[in-house]
Amino acid sequence: MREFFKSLRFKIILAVVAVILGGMLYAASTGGLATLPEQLLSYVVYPVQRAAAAVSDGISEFLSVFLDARDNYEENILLKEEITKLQQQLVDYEETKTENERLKQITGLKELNDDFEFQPAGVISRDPDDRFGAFTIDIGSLHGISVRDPVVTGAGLIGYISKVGPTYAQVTTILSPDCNVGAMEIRTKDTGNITGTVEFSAGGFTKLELLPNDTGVQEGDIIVTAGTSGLFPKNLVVGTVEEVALEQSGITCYAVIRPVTEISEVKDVFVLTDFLGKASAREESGAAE
Amino acid sequence: MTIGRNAREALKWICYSLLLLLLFGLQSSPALLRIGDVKPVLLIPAAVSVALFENEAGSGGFGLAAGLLWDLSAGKLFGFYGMVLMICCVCVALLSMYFVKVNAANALLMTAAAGLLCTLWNFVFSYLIWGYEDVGQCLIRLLLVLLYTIAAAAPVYLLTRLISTRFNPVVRA
Repeated sequence: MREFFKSLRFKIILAVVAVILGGMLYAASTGGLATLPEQLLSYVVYPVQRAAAAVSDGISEFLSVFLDARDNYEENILLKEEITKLQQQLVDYEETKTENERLKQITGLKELNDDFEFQPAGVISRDPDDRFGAFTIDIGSLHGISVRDPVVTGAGLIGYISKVGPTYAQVTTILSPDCNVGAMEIRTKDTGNITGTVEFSAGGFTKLELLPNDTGVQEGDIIVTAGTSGLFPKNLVVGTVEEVALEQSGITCYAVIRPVTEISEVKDVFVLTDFLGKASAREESGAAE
Repeated sequence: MTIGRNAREALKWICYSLLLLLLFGLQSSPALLRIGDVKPVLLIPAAVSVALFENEAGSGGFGLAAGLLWDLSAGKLFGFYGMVLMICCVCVALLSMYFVKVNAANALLMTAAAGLLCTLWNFVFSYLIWGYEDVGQCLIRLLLVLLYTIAAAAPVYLLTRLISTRFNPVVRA
């Protein structure tokens, strides 16, 4: 044993540890961009992750037929009732749409989301140790995505890109305390900041903080992005209000938000690579710097 | 037909690497092996089990590879787990060479020790120092992951032992 500590092998191991420490310091300074060794390793393991995700999805789908039969039956009844309601709403919608089209022709108003440019992506990995729902998607810088790009589903915002490799990217969700998104309640126009907490993330909720203490926000209200920072487009749905309460400080209120998508179950997402206002916000921040 | 010693060594490490990639795939898949919201970190028992049968240099290299794979899937700073797992594996290899018998019970014990170290390492640098509220809840969840990891260590140890028995002329005991 004593010989080991005097041996060349021990010195080599110490040297490797020093190199790793240096590499970590360098990686920390890249601001979320994958280092070269990381990129090389990702090319090796990318097919493995894709294959594992495919097998995982297949098995989950097969088992869900048996495990979720009761839930599916009850959901089926509820959905049938909902279809009846929706059919009625569809009639109203068609009328509204026709009216809307007419108004658009008159005003020349552009479709709200025409400015979105996005890349579809699949979830290939979830870290067992992360309690804030972070996951890895199967596209990266080679597909034109970059750090801080918003990540959405068809229903609304679920997070942003926090790290980018050539063929993969890490998504930090709105359940994470690292996430800060300017948001607004659409009825009262009260604004606040969406950020996660350990307590709320356990139940799949996030928090809208910094609301005025006389806020009119109520349970069931809809929260959308404010779009003030230029990092997220305006009016992306974030979720619905579950509860409003006064902060311990007594100065501001906060709302518990149920995200519009069940983040732990999401399998397919879209990364918004560009949208109206993004470039100008960057230019402004660049100019400010 | 017999194969040479170098070829056996190469084949052994190829088998270990394939096992590592298989376990990495299982660990990082979105739904496989999931119980509730908890999944095991299979790379820890894989690295520790190989360290029980191999010398300190090989074990360190294998631990480093396992840790870097974990870093990649977890989106951590590259080397975050790599460094800790490498040191753990060198220690496990030295213990198994000089002090400890290699059996399933000790494999579980070593996995528990290495897992606890990785858990605390992650807890301190990913949660505690950032001052999150209710960090105790995070620790509970990490410990549940650790428990599941220890439970999953037995089959990983047996698979590793199978490879070692097949390729090593003398299996450590």
